[in-house]
Amino acid sequence: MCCAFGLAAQQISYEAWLDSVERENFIAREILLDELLFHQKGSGITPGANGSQASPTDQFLHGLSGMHMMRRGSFANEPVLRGLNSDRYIISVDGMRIFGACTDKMDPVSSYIETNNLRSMDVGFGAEDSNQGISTGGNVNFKLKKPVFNADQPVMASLGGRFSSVSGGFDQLADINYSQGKLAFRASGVHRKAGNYTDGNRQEVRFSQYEKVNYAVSLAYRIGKDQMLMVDFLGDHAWDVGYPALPMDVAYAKANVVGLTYILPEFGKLTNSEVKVYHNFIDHAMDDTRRDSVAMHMDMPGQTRTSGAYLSAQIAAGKGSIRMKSDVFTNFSHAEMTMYANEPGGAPMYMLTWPDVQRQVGGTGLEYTQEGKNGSVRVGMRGEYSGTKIKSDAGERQLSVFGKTGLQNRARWLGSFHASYDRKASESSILIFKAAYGERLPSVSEQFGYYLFNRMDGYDYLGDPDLKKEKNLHLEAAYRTDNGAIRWKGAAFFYYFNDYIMGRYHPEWQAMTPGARGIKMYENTPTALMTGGEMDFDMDLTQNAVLFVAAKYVFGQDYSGMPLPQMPPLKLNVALDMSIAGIQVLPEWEGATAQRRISSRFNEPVTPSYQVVNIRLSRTFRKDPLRYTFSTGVENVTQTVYREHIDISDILRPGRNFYLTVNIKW
Amino acid sequence: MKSLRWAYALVGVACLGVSCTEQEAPKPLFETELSEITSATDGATTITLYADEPFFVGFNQVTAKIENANGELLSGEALVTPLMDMMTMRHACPMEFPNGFQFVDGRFEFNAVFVMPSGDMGNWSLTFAVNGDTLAVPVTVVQPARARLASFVSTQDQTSKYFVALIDPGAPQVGENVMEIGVFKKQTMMDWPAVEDLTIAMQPWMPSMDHGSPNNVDPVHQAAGHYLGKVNFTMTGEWQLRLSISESGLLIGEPLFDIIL
Ligand SMILES: [Cu+2]
Ligand SMILES: [Cu+2]
Repeated sequence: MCCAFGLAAQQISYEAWLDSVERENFIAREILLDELLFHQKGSGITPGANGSQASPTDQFLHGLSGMHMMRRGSFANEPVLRGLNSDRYIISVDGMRIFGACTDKMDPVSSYIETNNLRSMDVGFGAEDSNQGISTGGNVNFKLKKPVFNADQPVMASLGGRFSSVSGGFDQLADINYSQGKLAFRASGVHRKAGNYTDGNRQEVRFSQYEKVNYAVSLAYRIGKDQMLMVDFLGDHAWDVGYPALPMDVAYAKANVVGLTYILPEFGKLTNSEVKVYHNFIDHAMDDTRRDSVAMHMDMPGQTRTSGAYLSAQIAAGKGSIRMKSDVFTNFSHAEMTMYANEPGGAPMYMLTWPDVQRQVGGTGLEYTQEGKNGSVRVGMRGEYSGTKIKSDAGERQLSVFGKTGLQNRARWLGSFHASYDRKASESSILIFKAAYGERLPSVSEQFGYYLFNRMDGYDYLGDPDLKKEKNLHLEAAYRTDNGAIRWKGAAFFYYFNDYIMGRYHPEWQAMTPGARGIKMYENTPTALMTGGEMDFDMDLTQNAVLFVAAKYVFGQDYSGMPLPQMPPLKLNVALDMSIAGIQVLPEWEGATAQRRISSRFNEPVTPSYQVVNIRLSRTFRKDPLRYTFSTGVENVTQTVYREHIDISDILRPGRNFYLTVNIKW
Repeated sequence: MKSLRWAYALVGVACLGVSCTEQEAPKPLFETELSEITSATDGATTITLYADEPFFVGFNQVTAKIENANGELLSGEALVTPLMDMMTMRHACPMEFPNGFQFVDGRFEFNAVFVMPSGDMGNWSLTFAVNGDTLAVPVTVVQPARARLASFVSTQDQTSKYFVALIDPGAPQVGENVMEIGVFKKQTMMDWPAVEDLTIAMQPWMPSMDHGSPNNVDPVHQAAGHYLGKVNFTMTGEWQLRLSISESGLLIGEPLFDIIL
């Protein structure tokens, strides 16, 4: 019932071709924005969103099964998939590879996506999906909203706003869709501005402010009966962004993403063919000029440029079908640091923190699916060739300090394999077994990073150009049931890593960054293992009330039996979604156990347990042709003082927050 | 200049013609690779000095061209004696003759480690004894912007004075640099021998940030007071090259060089 408020109405006007586009790949899991907005029964989405498109993307991601959000401040939280951070999984937008330009991970790709241009997300864990690229930790693909062809209503638009008391934040957003004949057009824009928030101690968290705009335009042109040409542009520009957990802030973070897609639903025996070319440019500059006292002033800009293309199609094969995707991309990463001596007249100190790293990757994935009466089988594999080198002589000289070189191309072959078997266990339940093997290249920082200060453990990190691939053997068992009134699904996974990439302390070397504890260089540790699971349960209590319960947990240990750092402890979410007199009433409870399994090598603190309560209210009015949705609520009602274990540094999460959002749809 | 370049080209062509083996690279012609520093003549002999740059306080590699009055390149035996005349006293400086004292085709090479600049205090001259003829060449020695010679008095005997010349890196760069120093001792005003039995520890240091750099190789004695090692600079900026010099296991001095890159 709760979902009836939603934007579901919009889906109806999508034409058949669009549906076929959405079935793009076998997706480990596709999560529609509507599910994110209004956690739907059986969707595995736990509450946490406040029922409005005006909520920041991070808030939706926070509630996803198997996902945690790592905070460095209130802006641009980093998604963590089953305890694995963004070095280990692939993140893309509409299949386009994008790489953040910050050496300190201040700009995960999710920070460039806004909820009002997000249609859905594909989330895959471990090595279970072969069509997004090869990784050990999984993949996240954000799918942008597309223009809608709607002959009944050529112009569709919406306007929204959001106010948050905890940070004095005020957001505005708008979008418009226009279609005529063979042409459809969609544009959206968001402006967000927030001041410093206050934590549960009613203390102002300094340097947690931010401001950003995001704008997206996409144009679709139909060719013939069912073909289509589409151009998407996404721009995002944030400035004056504070990162209280880090020693620096951001002066600006800009992303420009453009893609051209050709969709061909039927071509001979091929179905759902899609060809895409794309380019994106990320520009990032850190800023420490507002901090009260810095050991020395530093400028740290960074850029990445990525261009690529892919081709995907599906073909019937025997009793099943094969989906294939071939893709290429080239990525260039540059970051530098200039430090200014405190003594006047001192020469500036300069180094390349990412020494113009050029990486070229090409791969092909195949996936065979066969549906049977009592279950289905899915088998996939992917091969990938990559070349990595640096393009800077200054960078090469820096590497000579460690007896390393980077100018010559380092070629690597990567492969992945996955198989899954779904079996009907009863009329309403299904058992799923998965086995997968994946590999990944070291990230640019892991391979070529040069004295990157990591606030988490307080060490300067050095890349090692000679790192080997990291490998993950992934086993998983899952169970899903839906008997009408009760739905639940649970998954238990086991990852066994070889050559797990981690920093190792080198006491013989000296830290560069003032105040750092020492130097760590990334290396392939022999093994690591992780295990854990997710459980999502929901149940109709009455006609108008649904109970949701979700749990997630990750356990990880390194080759020596010590805990891996930043492992999320058991986290529970419980929500009761009620409809009372046309008003959606949603009390939520979130809690996590303490994390005492900490990595002393990473100087992790013990994190105490916490509980947080939120209450949300929402109501939609229709007054043709308009539809108004008002949402309001209180987050962290009890002023809990808390942080999650994966958060960087000791900053606390926000205290009590009153919010109000308004959405008007036409 | 131009004619010489032509000559160079002709030599090259000649080489091709007779396909001469390139095992022994021809010595650089004086003017093409080096700059002329000064010249002096006594009528019978003309001596022209060439180097990479004007003479400075520190280790100077010098090439002399020795001609007769007719401009013919001489061969024979030569010796160079440096002298600084400070009115009240005179002193020499460390000298090296890596190829000995014989010379052919007018080319004579030597190294001079000037220990102070020319100026109001006094003036330098290099006195050449060539095949029995003696000719003094006055030279000007400048103090470089960044010191390339350091001196210290032994902290053990409080009297011996040592001079350390930074030979390499001449143009330091970020990354790995070959490091070569020459160490000399002032035995008397006129005797400046090389010191060959030192143990030297070296640490590059960035004073404004208080850090060093990894993977350096301490200089080890090769020959004639020259010590060879490796120094790494991780970034541009102002560095110090800090040396700890020990003799017979006892620390005798800690000279340093300022380096800007
Ligand atoms: Cu940054
Ligand atoms: Cu420094």
